[in-house]
Amino acid sequence: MFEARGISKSFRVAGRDVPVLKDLHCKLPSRSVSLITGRSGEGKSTLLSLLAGLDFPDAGELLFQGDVMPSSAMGRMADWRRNRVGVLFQHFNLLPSWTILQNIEAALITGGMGCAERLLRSHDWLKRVGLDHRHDHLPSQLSVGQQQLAALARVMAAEPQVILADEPCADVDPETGEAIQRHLLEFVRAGNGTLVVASHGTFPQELADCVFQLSGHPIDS
Amino acid sequence: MRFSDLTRCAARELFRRRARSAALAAGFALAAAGVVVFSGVWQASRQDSDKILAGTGTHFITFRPAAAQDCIVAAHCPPGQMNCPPQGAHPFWFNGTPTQLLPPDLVAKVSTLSSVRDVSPCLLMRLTHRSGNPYLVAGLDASNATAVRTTSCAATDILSGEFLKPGESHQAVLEESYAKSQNLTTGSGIEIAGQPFRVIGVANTGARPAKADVYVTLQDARNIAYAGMYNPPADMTNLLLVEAKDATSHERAMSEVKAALAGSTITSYNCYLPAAQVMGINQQTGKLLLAAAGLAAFLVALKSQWAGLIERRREIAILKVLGWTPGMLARLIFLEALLLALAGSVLGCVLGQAILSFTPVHGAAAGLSAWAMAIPLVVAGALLAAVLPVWHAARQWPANGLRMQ
Repeated sequence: MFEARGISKSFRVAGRDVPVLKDLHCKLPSRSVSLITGRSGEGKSTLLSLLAGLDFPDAGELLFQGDVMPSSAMGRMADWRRNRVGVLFQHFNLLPSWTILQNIEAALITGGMGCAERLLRSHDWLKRVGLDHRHDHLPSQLSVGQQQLAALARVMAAEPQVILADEPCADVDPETGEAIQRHLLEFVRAGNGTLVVASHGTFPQELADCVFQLSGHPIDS
Repeated sequence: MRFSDLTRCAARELFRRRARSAALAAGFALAAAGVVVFSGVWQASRQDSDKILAGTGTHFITFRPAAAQDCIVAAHCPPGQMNCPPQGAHPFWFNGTPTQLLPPDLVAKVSTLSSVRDVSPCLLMRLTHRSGNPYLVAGLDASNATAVRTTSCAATDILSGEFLKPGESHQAVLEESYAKSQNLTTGSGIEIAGQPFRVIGVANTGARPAKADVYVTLQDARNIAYAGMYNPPADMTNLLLVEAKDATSHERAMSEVKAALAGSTITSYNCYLPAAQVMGINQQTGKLLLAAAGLAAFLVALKSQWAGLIERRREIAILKVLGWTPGMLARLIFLEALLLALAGSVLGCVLGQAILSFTPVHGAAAGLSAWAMAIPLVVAGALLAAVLPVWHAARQWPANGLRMQ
């Protein structure tokens, strides 16, 4: 499970510090779906970013399965992320000049996986999200929904223990949104994974095992 | 991460951004071509200046000063019959200083020095005219065409008549000023230390260091000196006229000759200094230009790679999200720089070689040594220029990069 102990984070904007998270404490259980909600600007994406090790907290500490995460060590956080965590963004963050297949390979290449296995797994996930026929296309040649499916395939192909998803269904059509939800829930229910979703309402609360409201306290668990 | 995968990623990245890659490779190619062309022209220029300086030659005179009261000939007087010349009447002089006689084997010893091109013995004496006026007589090896020519008197200095002929005796060449003061011309008869000589030529030697009033053959000079000596030494010499190998070895030649003759003094015009200094200045300028070209290439590479990094900041952040460590990204960026620098520098060497074949500089050519200098230089510059972008990329947190649009 993830645990945040007294996490604070602020950003310097126009010469002054703007606090986003202040002395935050929370626990997000393993092998379940956790939903972080809150109004815009309350720090959902920032919290997710800290949990993924993409940024470091100004104060406090983060724990994963009881161990303190080396949040300020960028290299160690990259190792930790590579072995355990997949991050799904609202705006996909696909590598724009890499093809869809290469985007998926980019997540697998760092582990030293062989080329044949890499290709097999990448094509397998492209098939599952219905994009195998577009494997040699650039992200810009796909629709918004297809890009999010490609991003999902990239996360899934790496077989993480945890998926951190930031508004995964916000920009896609309902049908694609449902497909994404289905894959994510299957990851938790059938694959024993942990899913943490940050959303301000585009991800159904009833799918979550735990809901954490950033402005206050957990409203359901 | 496997090296083959990293190389594939780097090559793919370079191919994807063809225009930027081509521009950067062209920059490296120009730098390498510059090094090759500069090296070729520089080598040709250096060879030419070395040749000119070697041809110009440099010379000096070595001798061993004696105390004025020393009797040089004392060792050669019969026992108990020392008849030294009075003070001030010491016969062997140079530059207003009495000199000792030099060891007879010195010429052979000095001629073996690698820094010396030619050496010739000389006997320079100060004699007294019947009128009581002193005058200088130089005994020269008339067959020597190098050291004697540059330090004393040569056939090219003859104004009228002819120069001394080896093997002939009792002939003299007069310095123009002395001939005029004594009212002598070619064909006149003169007496030197009681021996009759015929003037065969009048010369103007300019400002040569072993200048005398009267020039005779070395053997004639020795015969003049031998007169009155009970046991004269063989091969009497009080000066060595030395021609150094070239301007660059002049200093070495002087110190080696000085070491070979303990207690000796060396007189040189130092005419080699300006030439050698000019050559040194040219070399320094050349090195400075090369360094400036290298710095310019480095700055261009730095700017290009920095611009490339700014362009790819978001992409690098995404790779970090996917688990690429700062080390992996550093290797990727360095590998890209290496591949571009290698391709660019090889291309540049070919280009430089082609430019050299059309250059109007005589003898300008660059061999493999220029390639061996240009390629590592450009590659090192490219890798060095990548250090700052790599450092910056490694330090950037992924969240910051993702915020970039």
